[in-house]
Amino acid sequence: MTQATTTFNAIETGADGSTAGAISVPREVTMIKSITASFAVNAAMVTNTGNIFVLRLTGTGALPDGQQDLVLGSMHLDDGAGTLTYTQNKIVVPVTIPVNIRLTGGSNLTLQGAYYGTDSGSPEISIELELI
Amino acid sequence: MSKYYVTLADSVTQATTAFAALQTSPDGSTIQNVKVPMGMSRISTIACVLSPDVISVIDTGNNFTLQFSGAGMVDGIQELNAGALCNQETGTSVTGDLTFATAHYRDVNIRVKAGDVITLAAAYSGTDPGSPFIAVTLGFD
Repeated sequence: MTQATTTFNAIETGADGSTAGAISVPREVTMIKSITASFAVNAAMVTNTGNIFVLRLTGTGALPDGQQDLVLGSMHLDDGAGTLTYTQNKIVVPVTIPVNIRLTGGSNLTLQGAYYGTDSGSPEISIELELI
Repeated sequence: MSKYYVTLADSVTQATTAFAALQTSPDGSTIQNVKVPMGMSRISTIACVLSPDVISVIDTGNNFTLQFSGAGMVDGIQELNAGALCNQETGTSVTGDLTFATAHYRDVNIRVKAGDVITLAAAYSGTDPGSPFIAVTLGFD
């Protein structure tokens, strides 16, 4: 996520590195049953910054109830006012959100990500959708 | 589980024990109130996340409360716990701290009126912690 605060950008890189673009919803699918997400900064995080991450579901005709935004979680690096040397290590458990969001089979669903707060660098965000 | 989700947030800049509206959409636009979508009759899910976005004010601890009001609330004003932030330090900037928090989703059953509006506000107890962010997702069905 290289964009500025409160700005959505597409989440469209496959786990194999391919550019997947929008998700083609299988014709027999009618619903998102759950959303699972995690996030991390894959570089030196800017100190004294914090973000709250939000997922947007959008796509023409994909969502019968319209575009929707869900909050995922937050991240904060605090080192006070001094110049410090330290190492931090975190293992982050993903958040799983049970949902009941209607989908249109055969449509294209687009995932977008944004954050509130101060730019922390270029955090990466990963999303899993359970479709039924 | 809900069918339709809306997210709002804001930087909590007000004094202690004072409610201020949450009106910033994640795309940066301002939403004065949440209009209850047609066909929806209740809030069935509420999610909250808190985070400082700059240096935390040391030795502060705050519990946050959400307040729902407006014509869209069938049973009137309601207040819910939104979690807490706590920052403690011994000495002067002796180390750094990296914190992750996942959103806390919980089931509720709050009756709302389709087509009417809900105003969402937040307040905190304790000493002013600076201007932390609070983000809230409402799930309707």
